[in-house]
Amino acid sequence: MNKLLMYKLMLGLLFLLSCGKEFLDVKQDKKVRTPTTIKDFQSLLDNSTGMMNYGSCHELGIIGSDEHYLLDGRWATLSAPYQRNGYVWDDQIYEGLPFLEWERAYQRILYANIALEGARAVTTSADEQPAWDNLYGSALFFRAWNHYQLAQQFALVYNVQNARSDLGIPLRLESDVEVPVVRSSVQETYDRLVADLKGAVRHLPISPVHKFRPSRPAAYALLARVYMQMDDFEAAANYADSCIALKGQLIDFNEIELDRTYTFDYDHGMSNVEVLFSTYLAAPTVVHNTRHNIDSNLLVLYEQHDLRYPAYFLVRPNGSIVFKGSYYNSSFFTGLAVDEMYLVSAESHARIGNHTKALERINTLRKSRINKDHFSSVSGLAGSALVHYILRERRKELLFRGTRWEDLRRLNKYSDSKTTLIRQIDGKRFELSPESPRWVWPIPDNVIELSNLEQNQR
Amino acid sequence: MGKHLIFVVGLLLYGQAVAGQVNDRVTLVSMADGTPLWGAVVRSSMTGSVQNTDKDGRFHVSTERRDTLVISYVGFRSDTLVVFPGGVLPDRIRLRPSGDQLEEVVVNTGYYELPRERMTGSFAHVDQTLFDRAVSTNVLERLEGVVSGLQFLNPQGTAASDIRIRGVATIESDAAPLIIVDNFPFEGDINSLNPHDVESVTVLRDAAAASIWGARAGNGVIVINMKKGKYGQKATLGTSASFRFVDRPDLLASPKWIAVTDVMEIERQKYLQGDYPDDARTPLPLYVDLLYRRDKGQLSDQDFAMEEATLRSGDIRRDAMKYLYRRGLQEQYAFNLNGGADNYKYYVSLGHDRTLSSSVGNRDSRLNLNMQNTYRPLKGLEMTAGLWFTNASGKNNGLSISALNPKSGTNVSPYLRLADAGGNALAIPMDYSRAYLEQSAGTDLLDWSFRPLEEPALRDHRSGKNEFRANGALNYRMPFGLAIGLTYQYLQSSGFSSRHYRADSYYARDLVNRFTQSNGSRIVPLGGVFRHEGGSTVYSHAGRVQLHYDRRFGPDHEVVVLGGSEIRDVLDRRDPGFQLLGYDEELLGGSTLYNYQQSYPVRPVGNARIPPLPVGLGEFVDRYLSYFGNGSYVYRGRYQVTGSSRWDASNLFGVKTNQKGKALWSLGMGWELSREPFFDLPAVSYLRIRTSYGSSGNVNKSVTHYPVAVFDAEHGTTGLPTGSLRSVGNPSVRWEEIRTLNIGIDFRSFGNRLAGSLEYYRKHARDLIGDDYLDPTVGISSTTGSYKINYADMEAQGIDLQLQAENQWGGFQHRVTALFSYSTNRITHYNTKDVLAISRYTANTPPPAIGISRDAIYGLPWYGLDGQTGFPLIYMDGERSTDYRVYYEQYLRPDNLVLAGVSVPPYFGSLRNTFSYKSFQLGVLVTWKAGHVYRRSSIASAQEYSGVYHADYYRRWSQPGDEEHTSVPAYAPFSDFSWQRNAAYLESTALIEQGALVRLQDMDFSYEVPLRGSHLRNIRLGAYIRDLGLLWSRNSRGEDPDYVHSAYPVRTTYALKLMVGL
Repeated sequence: MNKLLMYKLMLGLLFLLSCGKEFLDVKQDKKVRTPTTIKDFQSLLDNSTGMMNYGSCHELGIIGSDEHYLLDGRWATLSAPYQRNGYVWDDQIYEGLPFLEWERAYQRILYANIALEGARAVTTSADEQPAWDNLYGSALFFRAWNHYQLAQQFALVYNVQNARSDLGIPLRLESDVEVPVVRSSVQETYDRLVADLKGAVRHLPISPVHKFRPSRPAAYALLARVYMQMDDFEAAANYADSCIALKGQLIDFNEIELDRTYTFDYDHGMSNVEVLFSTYLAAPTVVHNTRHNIDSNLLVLYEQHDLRYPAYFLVRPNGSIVFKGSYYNSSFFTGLAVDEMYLVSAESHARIGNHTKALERINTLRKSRINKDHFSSVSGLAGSALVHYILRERRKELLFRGTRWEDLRRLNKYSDSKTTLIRQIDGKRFELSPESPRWVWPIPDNVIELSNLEQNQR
Repeated sequence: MGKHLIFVVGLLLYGQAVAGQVNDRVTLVSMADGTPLWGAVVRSSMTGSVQNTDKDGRFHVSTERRDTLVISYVGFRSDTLVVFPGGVLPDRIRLRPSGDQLEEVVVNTGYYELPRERMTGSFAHVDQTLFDRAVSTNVLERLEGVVSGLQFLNPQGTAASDIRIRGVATIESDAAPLIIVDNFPFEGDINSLNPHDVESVTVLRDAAAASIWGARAGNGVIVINMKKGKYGQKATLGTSASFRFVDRPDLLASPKWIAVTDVMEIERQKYLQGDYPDDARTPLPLYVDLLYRRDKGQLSDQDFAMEEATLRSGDIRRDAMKYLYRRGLQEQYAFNLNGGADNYKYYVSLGHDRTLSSSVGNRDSRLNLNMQNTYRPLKGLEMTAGLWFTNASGKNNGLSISALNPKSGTNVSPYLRLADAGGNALAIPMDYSRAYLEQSAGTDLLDWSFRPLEEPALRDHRSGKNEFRANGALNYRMPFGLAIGLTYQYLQSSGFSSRHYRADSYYARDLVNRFTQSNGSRIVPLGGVFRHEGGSTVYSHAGRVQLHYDRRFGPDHEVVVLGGSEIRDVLDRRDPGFQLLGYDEELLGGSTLYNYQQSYPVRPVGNARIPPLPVGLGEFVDRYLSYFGNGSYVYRGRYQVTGSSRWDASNLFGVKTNQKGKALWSLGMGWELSREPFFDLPAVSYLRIRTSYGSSGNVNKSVTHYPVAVFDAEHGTTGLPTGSLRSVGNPSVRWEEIRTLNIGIDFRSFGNRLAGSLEYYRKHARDLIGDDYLDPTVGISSTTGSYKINYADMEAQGIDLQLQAENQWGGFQHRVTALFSYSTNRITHYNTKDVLAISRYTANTPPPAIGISRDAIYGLPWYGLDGQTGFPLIYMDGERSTDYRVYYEQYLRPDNLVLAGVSVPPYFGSLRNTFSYKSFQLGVLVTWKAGHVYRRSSIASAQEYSGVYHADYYRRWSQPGDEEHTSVPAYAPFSDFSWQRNAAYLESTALIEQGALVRLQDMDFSYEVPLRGSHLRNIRLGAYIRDLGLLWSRNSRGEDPDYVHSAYPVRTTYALKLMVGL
């Protein structure tokens, strides 16, 4: 009897030990869902208007660039410190407040990392392969897209001599929040962008289900942008052309209604053939179209029959001229579009000496923008004259997309295209010279405090 | 009264007895150490005669006729000796020391039972006598004021969360102690237990006592031991009935009212300023309505004056006291039968309680059934099976005074009447203006007025609960000291609540009317509304395997070792409810088929959907797997060493944590100095020091270890499924750990007339869950995101002193028990976000801060009132200012606030006197607390226009000089309302008062009816009075700090009790 009971007891104890693992794997709250399937992770990346495609990290660049100016008396009324200070490239930008653009960009990177890790962990059947590819490619693309935007605001411009020592941005490559935050070098930042995007290209479909989703042409387009920042115009031309080969159709401004309040529809770019990948930004107060005025130096660049003028600008009753040509209707379109790829292709070919190809690209774009009754192709330009012609076209084409800030930083690398920005506020003058360190925005105060990162020079 | 009967069963057992013996001596000794008890009272139930034992503990017994001798000695459980003519007497009677005192107590930790003197931990014990002195239907309520170190956060609390044992040692997690019933954590409703079935309560206070309960024992453990039968005991039947009355609430005593005429004047001024919109959706106060009608010419000046005079004489509080409240009555009936044979014992009980609450229309009842059987088929083998069933039901149809407040958010006008002179119910404003209701009368709409007095009868709101608990145990004890036990318990507890508004109720009429369309068609049909608000069911399985070994080796060594494993699975399922519209209670008709999506035009204006029931689906699973071990070694009876360890895993924790499996443990030592040969203090009969150190845990269910996302099937613009991350999860989440050091001294002296214990404890809580600051670069937003990790620390320490003295003069006994406790806590590590608004610091639970108590109360600095304006003085950087907005919203930082004190008393205790003379006993319990502060209510400028009234209205500053004797800010017109200026007063230290008080908590009286020649075992009559009021209070405001925010002061309850034993 004694022995029997002893055995039973031992069995009982063993039973408890062995069932332990499964027994404890049950979720405490059934309603709570842990993402586990391809669909779950894809759903995270498809959180478009709530997370992945909204509020892209372009605000400071748009605020600080030369597309717009404020009338006297309006600047002092700005309540958000980063807008007031950003407009004049001040020392202090955030005044101790958190900077949401930074936080949102890194939240998106966390989503991408969770999706990426999830994708690596799931086992897939053959018929799930396309869904898996899209998930994996999208996660890589989203990570690169956000790292790229951050690098344009918070890291030094790429300069091949110093890229290994210049401060880049903190790269987040794992979802684990316990991994310490450290700054990479500019070289590491761009290497990671290239690696992620080349990886994405292999998995993304040519035509996405929705323009909020990344696609192969979009990945080519971003690669083209990245290489242009890295002064590798051969590669930039190559990827821009690859993009155009897949999606190269332009809108003919001769065919569209130009006198609408907002020229382009509010449909997230779905009906816009040029939109490759759609992200957007609600206009911050300082550049809201109730407040901003288009820089007159920009307005004078448009030729008489350039249809972009009526398509992009609206004259308000008080005489101020405001922007109305966003591909995202009343919000700023900050995504990737085909027109930009024509410009990248043209500039890159021009810089590597393919003048014919460059002229062909720029004429194709112009043809869709100039009144057809008055259009004539440009020809005979070469060398730096051609590059400058293309850059002028670029300035006239890409407004309030966040690209102007990136271009200004990049073009300051070349002695013939340096720009000094000037602001006049109530008689006071502010200047941003090409050599100024203030082309790099400071990292938000709370980030510096918590992770002890090295702050950008001002 | 103990029921440990000693039967003298005659010749069969005591062969040496001599028949016909009429007189003999019996020696009374202590069960603890065998010493004779001198001066014990032995009372004959037949004759009522009393004798005392002599210095050798001896007393005379006559066996001439049948008698029952009641033996009592202070500090011991009373016992009875039943004498039969010709029966045989035992040589000695061993009296068992009684429970709540410092003498030997057998402590049940839920895992094992041992005499307290063999343990090294800190226990507080409430024995049956002490537990039964109170009259209540709730178990925990009876612990108030009688357990050292145990504190009620809310006076009259009835739930575990109202209780703190030795302070608090957590920041964000549950701070309630763990409740153990019948050796398992209790997952049911504590209100379902019948106090009559409770034998004793043990409170485990330190690590050595509680760490066997592991990951949930960090807040202390309350072990409730239920009554059981006894082997070899004749069947005994116990019955009891008690009636407890509670006074009608005194609404007139609340400070939150001002005179009717003043309210009318305030309403008039607000009216004159045009602040009452004259629209359908504003339930205008009756007086304002009169003013409107007069000014629109609908009411003559004469009629107006008459109506106005009527209002002036009204007082809704008196009407409410008359019609909405009553004297409450609680009836309790209990019956139990227990006993046993050599190999069998049983306990059966039945309890029925009924409560008529003091709110007319509210009543509860409870039925308890309980049956336990233990069978011992062979030596050493014991099988136990028990069943418990509880059914509780309640009707909640009453209206409180606050239910009369109109929906517009203001307070009810005090001049309203609930009934006319003839007692007929009157309507009062609730949702709409009177003009609108008048205008809708006679149309397709139903009568739309709200008559509070009719409402209770037009509702049938019910709640119910069924709880079923079954357990089984198998114990086998082998001759060589090893025992094994298997225990299993199943609990199922389900509850529901429903609301039924009859067709004529205001709710049903209002719903029908609101949804009556302009063409007269009805969206909501005529009839009642029945809302079954869903229910929840808890299913709990718990099982345990335990090995137990105890053995003596020679005269000097004694070893007890136990170990085992435990598994628990608790499923909590929430079910959705349903709603029937057009409900007919006779035919049970009604329909659920309504379109809840459709938005309909509603009256008076706007569009609305039919109010749905929230979909209350949910499923929560808690699983625990534990291994535990415990051992003690006693050398020469006077040196004790104990140790315990426990390993917990749970589905609440991540794999990482469960794999690591950090054990919780304890070590303890005890030394009984008084048994040392060198011990030479004749006055001290017992002296022991003990110390323990160890860890226990606490869990937080709100933190998950896996990433959590919420998903939406279809995105509004893309149509694709979307998800958003709610939490990234913390793979390292684990239990909080509380390490406790305890040092205690127990002593008895002067022939045990003085006894006591003094304990010091220090708790260090580590790995507390708290919000961590994270660099937003990791992907967690600094403003909307949160990441909780185990990182915060806090400390608590304190002293528990218990003293007991007793004296005896002939038949008169007096015993006094004094409890003194000190407990303080301090957060030692926590990341507080410093961007928090100031109002967070003056709220009830301010943000934790390093170096500050968890119970801190902050106040804005108070500089008095401005002598010119009568508004609060404020200073910014030493400069006088009147910019209250800048002051409150920008200038004030947490550093500028005054740390006014703590809300939970750091000093508390009680004094309990028990007097007994022959069969009479009187107990008086006085409780006290000190060292804490509270925030009282008041009224700031212009608040009366938002319907906030307070007696401080009459203490307002009105002219220069008043600032010398009042702190209540001056009057301000409605247009000059500034909440920041009001906050400068209402959130300031001006309203923070010292909370120290002494309360006459309760009195109990009992009388044991002498029984001569009766077949009854005993009859006892008792009376109990609770909440007799304050004896002293530090603040001179005449308010009871514990009830300062209640609608009315605490009311005294009176109870009568009758117990009959057979």
